[in-house]
Amino acid sequence: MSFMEGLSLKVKSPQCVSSRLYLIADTQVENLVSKVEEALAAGITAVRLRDHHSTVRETLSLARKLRDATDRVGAAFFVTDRLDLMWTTTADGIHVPEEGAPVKTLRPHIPHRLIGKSVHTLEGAVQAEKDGADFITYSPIFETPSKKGILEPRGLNALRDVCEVISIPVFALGGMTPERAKLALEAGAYGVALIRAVLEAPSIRDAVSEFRSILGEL
Amino acid sequence: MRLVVITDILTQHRFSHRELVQLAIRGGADTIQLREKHMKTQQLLAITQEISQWCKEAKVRFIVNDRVDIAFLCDADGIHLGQDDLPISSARKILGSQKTIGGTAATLEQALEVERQGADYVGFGHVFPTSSKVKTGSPKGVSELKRVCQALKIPVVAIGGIHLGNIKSVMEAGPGGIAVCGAVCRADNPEIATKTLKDYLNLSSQKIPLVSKF
Repeated sequence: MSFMEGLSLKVKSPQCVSSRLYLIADTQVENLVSKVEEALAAGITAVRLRDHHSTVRETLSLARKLRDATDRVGAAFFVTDRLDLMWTTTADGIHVPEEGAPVKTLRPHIPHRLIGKSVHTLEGAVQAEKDGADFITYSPIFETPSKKGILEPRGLNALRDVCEVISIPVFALGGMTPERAKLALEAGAYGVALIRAVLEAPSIRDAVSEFRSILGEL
Repeated sequence: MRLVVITDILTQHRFSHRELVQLAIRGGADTIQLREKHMKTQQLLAITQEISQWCKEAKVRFIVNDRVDIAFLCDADGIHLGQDDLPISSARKILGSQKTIGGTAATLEQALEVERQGADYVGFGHVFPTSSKVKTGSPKGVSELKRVCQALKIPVVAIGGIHLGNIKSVMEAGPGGIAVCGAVCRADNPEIATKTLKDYLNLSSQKIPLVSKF
């Protein structure tokens, strides 16, 4: 089953099927909820909460707000790492970080939810597909503040290799701009994952529109 | 009377979680509770899956702290939730009625609330001063513990600074169990420390009935 078919079965809204923009709602961004709401209003259809420092109670409260906001526009919602948060917030799926639970352990427990996996190597991408992930983010393609000094940029050639080897959708992540998104798609990416390019843009609405027009969305 | 041994690798570095679990099982612990707040999910799951298996073989109850997802995935016997963790009702939905769910309380009001939310037991403390974790307020003392034990229908597990020197006063307050961390993890010999505590409980608690889910 393709990612798009999978989404249309698993996620409530058919609008999600066209989602090639994967917004990472990172708690390092200030006024996160209102910014995500603005991005959703501008046409973002998939949101993943990435929370670094809160207690679970705080993460749960934030996740519930984002679940409500995504529900209002029929967008997909993902939590990071925690299966219990996914169930509790009725998220559409879980995004598994590099050092999260093995996808093959999670898969049998959640046949009808989506599993995204963060990948930084070709081997990791192959493994993720084999283990049953529905899609991956491959990163960092370009230099990004999130991974500066931690991971070297992989570049477009490495992205192309990954996209050629695996058949599940690849979201290019890291230092994305509309111009680079175009290059990523040409390299075979299914879509792009965005944090600051949207959430810290002078105009979130304009930023989302620009990405959407590049990605050929309505 | 139940003896809960909480494994901790923050306040001591001689033993790993796995080593502490093996020592506590050999010493006769009724319940192992894994307290680990910093490990990545992948590593935590690998450790808990192994420990869960050991505990099943030894017929020792295995409780995971905080992480309902981990408790679910490693098929632990239960979960212990602090006030900042997932709500008890959410944990119950995920783990089902067969698993043991405990909640932390530092006041009588919290303890009653934990009971109301459907927990199988309440961990009340800290009873005495402790250096094993960041604490809420001052030590509650055995008289407050007694009040909680009398007010609740579900078992109360006394926690916080309990050791052989003060265990008698704790037991007189009427808890269903005792949880120790430093008294075992930071003992010269955690196995002997567990065994000594367990022997003491066995000798002096014959009148106290075991409650089914704790």
